[in-house]
Amino acid sequence: MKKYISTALSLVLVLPLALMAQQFSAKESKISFFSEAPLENIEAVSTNASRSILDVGKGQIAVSMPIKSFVFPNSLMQEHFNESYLESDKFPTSTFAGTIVEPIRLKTGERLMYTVRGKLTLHGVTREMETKAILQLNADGTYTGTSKLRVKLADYNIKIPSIVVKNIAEEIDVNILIVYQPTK
Amino acid sequence: MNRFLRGLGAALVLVSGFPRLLCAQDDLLQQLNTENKKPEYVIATFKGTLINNQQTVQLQGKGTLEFMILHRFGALKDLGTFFGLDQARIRLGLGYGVFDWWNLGVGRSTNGQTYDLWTKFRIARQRKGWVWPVFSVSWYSNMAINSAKWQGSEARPDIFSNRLSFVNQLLVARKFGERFSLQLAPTHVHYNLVPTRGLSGPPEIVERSNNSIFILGTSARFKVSKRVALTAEYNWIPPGQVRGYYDSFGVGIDLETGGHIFQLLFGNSRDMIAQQFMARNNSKVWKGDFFFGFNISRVFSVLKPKEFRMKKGKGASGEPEATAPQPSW
Repeated sequence: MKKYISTALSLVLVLPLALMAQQFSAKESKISFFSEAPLENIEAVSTNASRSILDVGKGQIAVSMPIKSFVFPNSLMQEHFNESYLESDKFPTSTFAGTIVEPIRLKTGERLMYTVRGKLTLHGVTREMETKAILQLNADGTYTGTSKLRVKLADYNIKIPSIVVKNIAEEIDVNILIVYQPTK
Repeated sequence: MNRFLRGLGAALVLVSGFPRLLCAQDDLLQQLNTENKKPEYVIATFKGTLINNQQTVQLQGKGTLEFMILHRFGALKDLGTFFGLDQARIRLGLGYGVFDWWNLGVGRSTNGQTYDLWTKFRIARQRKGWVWPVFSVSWYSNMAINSAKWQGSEARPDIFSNRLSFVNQLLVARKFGERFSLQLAPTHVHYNLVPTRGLSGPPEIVERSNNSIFILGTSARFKVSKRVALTAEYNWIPPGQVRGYYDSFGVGIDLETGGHIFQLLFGNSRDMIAQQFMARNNSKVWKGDFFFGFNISRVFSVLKPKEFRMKKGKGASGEPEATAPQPSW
């Protein structure tokens, strides 16, 4: 009987700790997007501005990125992006919260593709989405995650005025690279 | 007893572990959101670097070159020149963002064949909400050189310093909500040489404008839609400083398309640099001196941010594969 009590107690006490220990947070990040349109290609990059938590044990992930951290080659374009398109004063961050469908059991140096399912919030609109992501366990114990998303602007209520319809793509490619280190 | 304890253990595990799993995604997000945030600055207080004639607190970003074409036509009442369209005054200008907080520029205006050199820098940036600083503050200074054929006398020799005039301006603006912005622009204009009248008469009728004139500029902007805004400005000259020159004012419409800003303007001044429209505006509105004009601003990205240099051909679009080679799946 003692055995059971100790098992139960140890489970109660240790399990949450064990789960905690498998949390990783973003050490480096690079999120960029690319719009390919007949008249103009537009790209923007946000470096090390996003915050993210990856829970390897539970297969869960959350990302929060400040929209204003996107840097454009042209500063006026950046202002228009924030003021007229993403309205970042009203909607300052874009978030993603989801689960990684397959269990993560990577060996050091191994790299695998996973399915990520969750909710993407952008421009005040939250939508279910699913994408593929590649996760690698590095030698120093960090994880490198990369993914590509295709975001349809109309889905997120981002309107393109007819005058620039040839300058901005209807669907934007988003590239994500995040390096995770164990949460201290 | 045994079974009871086992059940209790399982229940405890469930109680402690289960809720975590249930709302774990949102937990994670909340965990992210509670971390400290960077200050958020207000952007786009005005559409461009000019209201109508007046400077705004806005600056061009680092590496951005702005080309400005400013036109002011003759009096609208003048039918003989097709509402003044035959008599344009023009200013062509260039401005460059050396840093995000410091711009330099040059311009050339029709009136007085004037060249101007200017500098503008940011002192403070408004933060979101009522957090200090609650205003955006910029400083603008220029020096203008009149290069027209000299019409002087012995008392007014053609020496270089006589051709110079200067402007110093403190620009203080606040964006109220999404649409409305207001700006105050206390301004100091200095002319090295000022006009006098009645020099030959008795001293009490000699009329002389001050060399240094203080002006309070005010302006406002209201966004009608994302890309259209209405603007207005008034430049008040406190009395006793000038003779025969009047406060200038105007209203306008801003139209923004991608890299251009078009501004259509109606006002009582035909000049485009502060020493002229603020301190040397001799148009008499009551005699119908009212003018149409426009500003066109086009920006070019000369020096790209560091994220976009180095790379040739390839964009900066992350290219995750560059750091994580294709796996064998």
